[in-house]
Amino acid sequence: MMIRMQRVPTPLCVPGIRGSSAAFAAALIILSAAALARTPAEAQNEPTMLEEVIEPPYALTAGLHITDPASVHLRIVLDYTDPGSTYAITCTPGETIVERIAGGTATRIGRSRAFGAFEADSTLELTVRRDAWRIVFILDRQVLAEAWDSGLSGGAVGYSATGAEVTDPMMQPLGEIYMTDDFMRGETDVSTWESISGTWQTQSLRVDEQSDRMEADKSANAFSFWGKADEAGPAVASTGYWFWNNYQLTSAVRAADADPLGLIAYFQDPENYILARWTSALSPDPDANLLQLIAVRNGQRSVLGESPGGHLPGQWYRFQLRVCDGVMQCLVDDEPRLVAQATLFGQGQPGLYCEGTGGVFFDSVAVEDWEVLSDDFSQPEPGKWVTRSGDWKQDGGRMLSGGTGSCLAVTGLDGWHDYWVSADVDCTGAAGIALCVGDSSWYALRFGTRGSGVAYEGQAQIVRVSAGDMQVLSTAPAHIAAGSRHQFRASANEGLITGYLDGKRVLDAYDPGARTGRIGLFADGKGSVGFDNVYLAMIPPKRIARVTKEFTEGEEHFEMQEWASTRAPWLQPTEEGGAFWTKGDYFGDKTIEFEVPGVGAADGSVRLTLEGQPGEETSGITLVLSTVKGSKTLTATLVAGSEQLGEQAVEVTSDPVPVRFERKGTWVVASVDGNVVFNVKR
Amino acid sequence: MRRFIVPAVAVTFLMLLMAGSASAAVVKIVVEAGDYFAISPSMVKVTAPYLGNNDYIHIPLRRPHATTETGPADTGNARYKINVPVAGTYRMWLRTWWYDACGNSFFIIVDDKPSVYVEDATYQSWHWVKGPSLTLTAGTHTIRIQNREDGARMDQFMLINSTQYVPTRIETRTSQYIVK
Repeated sequence: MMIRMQRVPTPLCVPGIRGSSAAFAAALIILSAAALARTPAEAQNEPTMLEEVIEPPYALTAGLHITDPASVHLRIVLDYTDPGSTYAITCTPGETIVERIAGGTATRIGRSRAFGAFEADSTLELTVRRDAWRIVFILDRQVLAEAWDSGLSGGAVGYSATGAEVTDPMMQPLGEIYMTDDFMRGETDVSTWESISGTWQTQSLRVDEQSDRMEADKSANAFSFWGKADEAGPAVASTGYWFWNNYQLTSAVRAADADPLGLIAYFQDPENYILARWTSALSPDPDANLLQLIAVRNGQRSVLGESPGGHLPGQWYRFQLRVCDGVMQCLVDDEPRLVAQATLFGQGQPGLYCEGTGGVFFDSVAVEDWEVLSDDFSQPEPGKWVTRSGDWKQDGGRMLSGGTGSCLAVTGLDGWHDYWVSADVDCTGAAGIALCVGDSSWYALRFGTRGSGVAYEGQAQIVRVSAGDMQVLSTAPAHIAAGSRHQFRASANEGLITGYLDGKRVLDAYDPGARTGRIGLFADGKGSVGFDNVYLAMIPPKRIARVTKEFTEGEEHFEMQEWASTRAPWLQPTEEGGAFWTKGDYFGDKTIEFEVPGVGAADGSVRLTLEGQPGEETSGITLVLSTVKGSKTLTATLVAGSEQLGEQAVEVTSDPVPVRFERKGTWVVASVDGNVVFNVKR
Repeated sequence: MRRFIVPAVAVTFLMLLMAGSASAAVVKIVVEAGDYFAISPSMVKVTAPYLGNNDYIHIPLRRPHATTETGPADTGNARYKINVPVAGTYRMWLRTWWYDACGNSFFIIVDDKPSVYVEDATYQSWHWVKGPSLTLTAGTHTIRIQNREDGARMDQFMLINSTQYVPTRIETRTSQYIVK
């Protein structure tokens, strides 16, 4: 396939020219002048469309060569069907605008700022990013506009410019960000890391007792990546690609000495990046014992935020830097330690960083998509929140509901799943948070504020609304005084909706349909409700507790058999047919997944117990699955002690049959062959 | 002399304008795993409906898997012929799936050049891996993807004469450049 890189049209026609050179030159000058005079006017009205059309997410990247700084007028169209149906980004020295043009009517969306004065004869990097929801316009490594809208989709991409020329446009497809590195390779093998400064080496043996004996095959992890700075400055290594954004970078880190170490996001070049810098608690330097988020721009550092607490030499930590839509977070051992906000660069590579000559070890690096929504309503961002019912307006740094009755404003993507949302709420009327919002159905955690006039005053409820019908799934008492301010929080995680009030868990409900959808702000009854500091975060997938598959060669390494074999985590039954019990204690929500092979091949049953006591066969809650030879029906029975909670016959089609048995909040859920068979509050 | 200056300037100006209006073409050659003209064991083709053109090539896992780093057990490979339309420097990319740290590479042999290999450390996930930079003449070339470790899979490979473009999804096959 050929990708054609188009330029701004140059309507030059060169006929066969006869006659004197002067006439030829004059004709040419006239032609050229005509061409130059016509191009801008045409360009403004008729964008040059890129031939290649790709589905979002994508990034349009190009150069913008400034020819006349004062008259720069750049216009980029996305999802362009015709002039009356498109998104349009307009950039002039004094203003940047993003508009949704639908039905011929232009509506300004998102937030933006002006670039300011352009410099003559300069060439700036230009990127427009488009995914299912966002539009981001980046010029000269500055995020000039961000908008959130999914009203239009499909269509072409084009541009026009006066006072500037768009050069070498290219459509870069975007996709999932997922990259890992365990550095398990030879020291000279190919690597995805680029050493920017300092010294970087893959270490095939770690500096510990095991490695001293050179028994790499007995080391749980003999490999790491080692960096060391020099007199010229810090050591930096980068990976990934220029167009990566909204990601989290995770690394195990260990400093040999009391030297600063760090993680980098949105690396542009050695003079421009975002740095999470962590100094040592034992450092003699004035900036010791600190975790900092730093913006490095043109080599100049500015601290965006910092918190006390440094690392200790020789200690491994799990260190994380997250960036999304101007929100930056830093975590140590999964604990959020530092948050800052700044719209910088908008995209760029992840990287590793260290100072000093003692050296720092990095290992188990992962870069993954990270999505967050943080809205303090401090500036207008039209289009981000969409009114479904009632009246909503952004005012005084809050989102305010108006009118009486049910009001709903939503944002986000239909595909969002497994998340929690919090908001500070000034309660005059009843209020809540909507979850898993689809076109015709949604769920809500709602609180009946005193005096709001709603039927559920004094209560917290989780409700499901489907095709206009509302069903209460769960209720708990909750006192909300009129005019009081509270923090509401709700989560939706694989069907379980949980509600919190001021940090305390209040109630939950399980509904298999509560899986995906947008989020929303909900108000009800008399009085306005003000929402502030809305924050959404994705719930990471459950971690699988599994036995590491290495070191299971019992014959060769008999000394490891007790702790490293796949049977080691289980207490063996003392008699045939007895139960295997896990050695570990598992707290909170948990899921057991397993498969039943050969249903119908023989008579038999399998029992699975949650929250039991080893040796006490009737403790906990037990799922019993029974099969009969020749039948594709599984009989599922749920038992708690001597009480039978339910029995279901399930026709199965899969072989083996997948089974899930879960503790989800106050609910016990069992699924067989993809269908929920038990859903019991217990 | 002066009488030649104006035409010369004008022609130069004209050429510059014409050059400016010409389109710089990027050539992207996308080959599906199943487009080989020959395949030899232990390389096999596997059907997978969720992938580009429904198949991938694979060095099946051995038991025990990669217990040593003594090198591949055989020279199993898939061979492809492509027709390069424009001579130039092409970046090779491979869409791969690696089993683990001991099943994460392929040898690549272009025409009769020495073998090189690709690898990275993102496991159990389909993703594009940057391969070698190749200087290719216009015309037909043979590319051999060869066993280096068991557990490695490849869905597509791509050659592109752009240093900027990075594949991130399943790419559209370019049948016009594939010689069967």
